[in-house]
Amino acid sequence: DGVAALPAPQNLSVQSTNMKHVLTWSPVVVPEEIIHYSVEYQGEYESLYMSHIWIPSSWCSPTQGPECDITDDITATVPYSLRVRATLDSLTSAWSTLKHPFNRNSTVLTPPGMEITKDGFHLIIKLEDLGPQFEFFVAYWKREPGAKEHVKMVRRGGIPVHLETMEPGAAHCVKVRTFVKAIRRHSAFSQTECVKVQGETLPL
Amino acid sequence: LKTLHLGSCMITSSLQAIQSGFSEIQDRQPKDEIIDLRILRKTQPLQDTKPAGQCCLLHHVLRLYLDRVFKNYQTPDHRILQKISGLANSFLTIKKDLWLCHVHMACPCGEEAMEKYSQLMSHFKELQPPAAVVKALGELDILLSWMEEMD
Amino acid sequence: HIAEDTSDLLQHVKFQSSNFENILTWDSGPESAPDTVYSVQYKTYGETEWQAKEGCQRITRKSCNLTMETGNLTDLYYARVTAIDAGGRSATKMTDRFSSLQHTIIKPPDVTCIPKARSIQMIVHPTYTPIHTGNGHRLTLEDIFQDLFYHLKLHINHTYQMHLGGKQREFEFFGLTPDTEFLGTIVSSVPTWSKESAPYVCRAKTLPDQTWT
Repeated sequence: DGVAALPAPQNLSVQSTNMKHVLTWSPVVVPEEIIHYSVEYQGEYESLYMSHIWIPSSWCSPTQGPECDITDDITATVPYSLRVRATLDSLTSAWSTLKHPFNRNSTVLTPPGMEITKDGFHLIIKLEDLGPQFEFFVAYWKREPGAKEHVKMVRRGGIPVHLETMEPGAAHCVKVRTFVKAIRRHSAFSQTECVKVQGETLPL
Repeated sequence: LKTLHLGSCMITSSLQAIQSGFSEIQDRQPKDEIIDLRILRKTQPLQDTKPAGQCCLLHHVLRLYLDRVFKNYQTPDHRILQKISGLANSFLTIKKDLWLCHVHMACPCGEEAMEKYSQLMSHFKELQPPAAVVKALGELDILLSWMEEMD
Repeated sequence: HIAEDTSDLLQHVKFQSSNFENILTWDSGPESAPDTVYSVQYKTYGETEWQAKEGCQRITRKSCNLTMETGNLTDLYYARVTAIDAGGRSATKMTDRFSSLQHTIIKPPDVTCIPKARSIQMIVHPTYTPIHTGNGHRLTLEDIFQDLFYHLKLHINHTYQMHLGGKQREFEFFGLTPDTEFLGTIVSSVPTWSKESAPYVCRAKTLPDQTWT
């Protein structure tokens, strides 16, 4: 019935950075033909309680590209099984299933981008906007022996925010990391940046 | 993140994410026409249960939802299926945390908790299965508000 | 006997709630006459009896204040309206299930902004609701929503913002330039229920710096 005529997609894998999850696979090639793919997923609940149920992914049922943004499908911190199949007109391949279920708590969290500026004595920070799941943990201090490190939680990126009012003549330093509540993990700290009032950003 | 204090069992959960997931499907679900009957009643709320039994009661209620509500919820709408999956897997995460409390002897099932749960089950069984599933799903906001009060 | 379709007498029956003031509203239908009268009933979810709302029987206006009747925070409610026109035709429509905790909208907080030379103080006043405890004590929003907090922003020459936040009621933005106008916005936020009020906006100008005169 033509089901096995089309090879199943191979080399499924998930790339996940900063809670953006993309499923990729090797494309099925049939000369001069356009292949479509369908992606489906099962959370741990489905695999435990109703293993026959697979849920079509939000954006890739069907899709043309050999990749699928599954971020909107992975909405709980549990292992997810994923599968893909190819279709060409009435031909349909077998399903290929990701070898190891994917859990979003394995996402790679990168130190956030930050931009340090000053307005008079005001030290201002603008953080990379990584979306609503991210909070920012900003550490800042005056660069002098025994200086106390201050901490500020910034809820959203993308907006320049006043960090502190600096003292003239002293260098003030900042580093930041992200925190993702949904998976209770934080990134590494960014590079430290220092600013001196009436001076330029100082190299470390 | 919300920390739920259930007697000597303490778990953290993102109830807010679950609440917003539920709000997205609330208006698109079949309407619960049986308004003279309520499964999660004021007489059996979580917060009025003695602390020692709260973990056990919640564990049993979550098991009801996982075993008999999400599992039997039928819908042709993929969007709702996706949202239900998100809810079910989030509840599964909480249930697994409660199971850890059980393993560490921090989730005892006293008489009071079991009595409340059996009353709740009797309300559930008063209805035909499809109607019970629709009603229980419609009462998720009640369950979430009970859990909200466990901080 | 074929029942006459009277659904055109009545539409959009729903609760509109803000700060726990719960108002039932509805619209007349496209065909209904001005002399149509409306009667309101309400009930608690899970109970059998409908209660007639006194003061909203055979009224011509299209709203009814059900705040007192729907004031128990652990209960959920339904209301329904029956419209009857001069010709004796009638129609009844019911609301969706109403939970004031879930459905009420939070109004902007009431704030006093006090400019000084190099700072602006902001004092948030408690917001009282119509909800009372058993002993008659009136509850504030903070009493009801344990995780309610305030988020304050001071916009500085359209380029950046100062942020403050917390559950306390007194805040102060320091390190400001004297004799300068600032725009402040304050919102009340309840993470648990994903509620956030519209902002209270205050414009304040810092005082001239007297220290050097």
